[in-house]
Amino acid sequence: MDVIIESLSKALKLLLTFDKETYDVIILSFKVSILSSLISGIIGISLAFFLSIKDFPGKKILLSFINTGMAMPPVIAGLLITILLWRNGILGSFELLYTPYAMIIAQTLLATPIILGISVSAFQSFPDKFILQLLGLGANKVHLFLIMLKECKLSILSAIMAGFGTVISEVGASLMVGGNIKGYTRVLTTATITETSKGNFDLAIAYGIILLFITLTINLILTKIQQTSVKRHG
Amino acid sequence: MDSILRVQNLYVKKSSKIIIDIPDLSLSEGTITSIIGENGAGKTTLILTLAGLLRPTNGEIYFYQKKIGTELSLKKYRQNIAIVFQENMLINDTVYENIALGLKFRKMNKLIIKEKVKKMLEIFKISHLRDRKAHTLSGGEAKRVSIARALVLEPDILFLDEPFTSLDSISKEEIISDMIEILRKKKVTTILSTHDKFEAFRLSDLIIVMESGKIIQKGNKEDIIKHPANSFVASFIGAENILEGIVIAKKDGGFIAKVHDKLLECVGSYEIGDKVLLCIRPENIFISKHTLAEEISTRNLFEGKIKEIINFGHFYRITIDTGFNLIAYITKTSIDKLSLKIGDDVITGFKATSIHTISKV
Amino acid sequence: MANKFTVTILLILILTTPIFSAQNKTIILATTTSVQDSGLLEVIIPLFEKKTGYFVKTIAVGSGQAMALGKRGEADLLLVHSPEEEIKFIKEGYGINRKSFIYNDYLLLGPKSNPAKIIYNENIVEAFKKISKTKSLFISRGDNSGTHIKELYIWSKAGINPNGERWYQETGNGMGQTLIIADEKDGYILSDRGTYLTLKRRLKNLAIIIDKEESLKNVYSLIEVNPDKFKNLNNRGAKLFIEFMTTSKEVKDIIKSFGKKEFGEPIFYLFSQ
Repeated sequence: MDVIIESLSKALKLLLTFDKETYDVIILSFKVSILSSLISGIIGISLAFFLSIKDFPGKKILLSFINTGMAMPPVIAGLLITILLWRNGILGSFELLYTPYAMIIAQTLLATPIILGISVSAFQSFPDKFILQLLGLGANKVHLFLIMLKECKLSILSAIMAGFGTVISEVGASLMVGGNIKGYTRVLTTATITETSKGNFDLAIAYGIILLFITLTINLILTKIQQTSVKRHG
Repeated sequence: MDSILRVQNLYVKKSSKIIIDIPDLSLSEGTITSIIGENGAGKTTLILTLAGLLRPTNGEIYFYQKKIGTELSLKKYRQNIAIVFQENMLINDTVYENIALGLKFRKMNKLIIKEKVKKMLEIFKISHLRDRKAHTLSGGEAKRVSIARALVLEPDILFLDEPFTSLDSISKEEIISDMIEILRKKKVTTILSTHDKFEAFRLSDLIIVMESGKIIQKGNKEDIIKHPANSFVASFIGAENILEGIVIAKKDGGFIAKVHDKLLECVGSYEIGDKVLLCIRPENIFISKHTLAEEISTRNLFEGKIKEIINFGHFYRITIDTGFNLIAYITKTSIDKLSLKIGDDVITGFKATSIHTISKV
Repeated sequence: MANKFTVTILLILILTTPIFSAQNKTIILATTTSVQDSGLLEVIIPLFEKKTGYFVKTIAVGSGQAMALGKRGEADLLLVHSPEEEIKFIKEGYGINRKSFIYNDYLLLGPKSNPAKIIYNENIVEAFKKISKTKSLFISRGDNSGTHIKELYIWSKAGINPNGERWYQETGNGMGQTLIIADEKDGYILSDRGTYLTLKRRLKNLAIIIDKEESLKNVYSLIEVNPDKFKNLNNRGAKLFIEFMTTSKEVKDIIKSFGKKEFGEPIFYLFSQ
């Protein structure tokens, strides 16, 4: 018990005194995860838009596949990207393995299906007739996209946040493609593991607190968004 | 008048089911056309197709003699039309932004947009709502915005897909009178689908009746009222008495039809055994409290009992049970003179010539 | 509108700023977890980086996996402690210029209650036999690391195959994690001295049972991955790194004193031949 209390107070001290090493890890985590969720957002949302306005054979099957297969196991994403980025792999010449860029690629692979799935269902809740109405007023595809984005902004926002929540708290892919290099690719989750095996429980707990805080905040905001949209439409 | 919209060999199929089948249709510039028909008759599909929002399986549509899709791009065509649906479908923004929407799509100058929207707000008497958010509006207010949003574009053709269906009668009345003024003034060609006969009669120069994707009748309101093509049209236009009968005998220039256990004399040539629908307009039915003289020219006379009297303001609607129900429209004076009330025994009847016969399929 | 504008500009700024410094002169070092967990590399690598301008990416894995990375050309050099495997690695042509770098020794740790009744500093093979006989819990890395291979070698010397026995559990984790697990579960464990010392203050139940035995010497070596086998290697950097590590006086001084203050003894000893 005293280990926990001791570690906890040390952890709080690290956080409150803005310990550089601790904050480097936190900032890197945010950079990587924000960038990958933004890239996933751009890919996922535009794909979702085209999926929801274009008709093609097999669309229904594809949509149900997207809706059910939203989550790819992080280690699978990690393995896939590792194999691709190996020095002697297909994309080896870019020398991306064990860099933050590799982590962004892997996390993008993880977050895109999640964001795509939520965005598709958001756009699909937008009535077909509404699209006809906008076209009937002279809208082109860009107009349509912007208006749908605006009308569904809460769901889209929650899609990106769900993506961010997933990537900032995943460990498998980051560890595999980033290599957990101190000061370079060590993020909150992998740092927690490393510090635990080094016996630095105070640091591990500090990182744990941050992670917990982030995921709790995201969940809180998502719940809030859901409640607001229920109020508006219900 | 020039044809603004012409349709040739128009087919719309959805999973091998024919939804629209119109060999030929031409609409004149500046006219208002109503499309009537039962649910599922294809009214909405026809409107969407004509508005260039649904690609027909087959066939051509010409806008001012230009073939849409080849001589005139679909995009360009859509810039010349506007559409209003039953659902208002306003974007989650202010009334101003909603009305300005189509103008912004057309990349119009901001000052011009401001001016145009201002005018529309005045015409539809919603200037005070300018900065209100769309979702705070009442049904009537939202409908005004939705129509203003279409008319501000000054479209060559305005499509209205059952626009007034979910409105209360007072708002509907006000909106229609505001709208018709601008439609007539600007000579906007309008195509309207509706369930409401008053809407259709009041607004339209031409009425199109649809059934299972086909146009089964087309004409002005007089044509439609006098010669309804089927029982739907008949009940739609208000021939409230539609009796089902079978031809049992032929006579000079007419026939005798059996309805329930009563015999009716009718005009027209039908064969014995034909099933017919006999339509009698309620204003052609008379009521008397006394047995009439033999010399009366009316062939069809029945004894009955008054079941119901409803005050319609200008007239009363009376239901008489004669073995089958007959509905008559009677003025207040007549009711007072005869002192009619529910339960009274009466004599009722109509002339053979006031029966409109439709063969039943 | 102004709001939207700011957000857009901010996004563009975030997306276009080079957020991670460019690292073109990189060396990939695949190292055993035991050296990594001791914290030694975190002290000496920055010295090397400062002096040479190289950026060293340290990938901490078991010795076995480190050599597997070397066999694929995914690392430029290795820091490992599994002598027999290392010789094989070089014989197969994957590695060159093996240099013994530092050493310490393996320890047999066990619960203070010592259920297998092992006598302090008795022969390690005899000790393993006692563990097996009394079916006392033994926690193994099970990750093909240098320590794991050493442990398997001792089991084979004792003529015991512990695989599948209920008292023999594999964690598949690094040394640090496995020590914590052994401490929690009251098991015997073979550990390197470095990691044990680093974690000592956290380990409440484990005590040293055998140490300073000649057969338990633990030598860490640096090996260049053969540049003739793979075209993308940074062999120049690897050579420079090994040279720096084995000749620099600064490094030698650090190793001599590393851990002395905290644990009363150095964690590693310089290998001098």
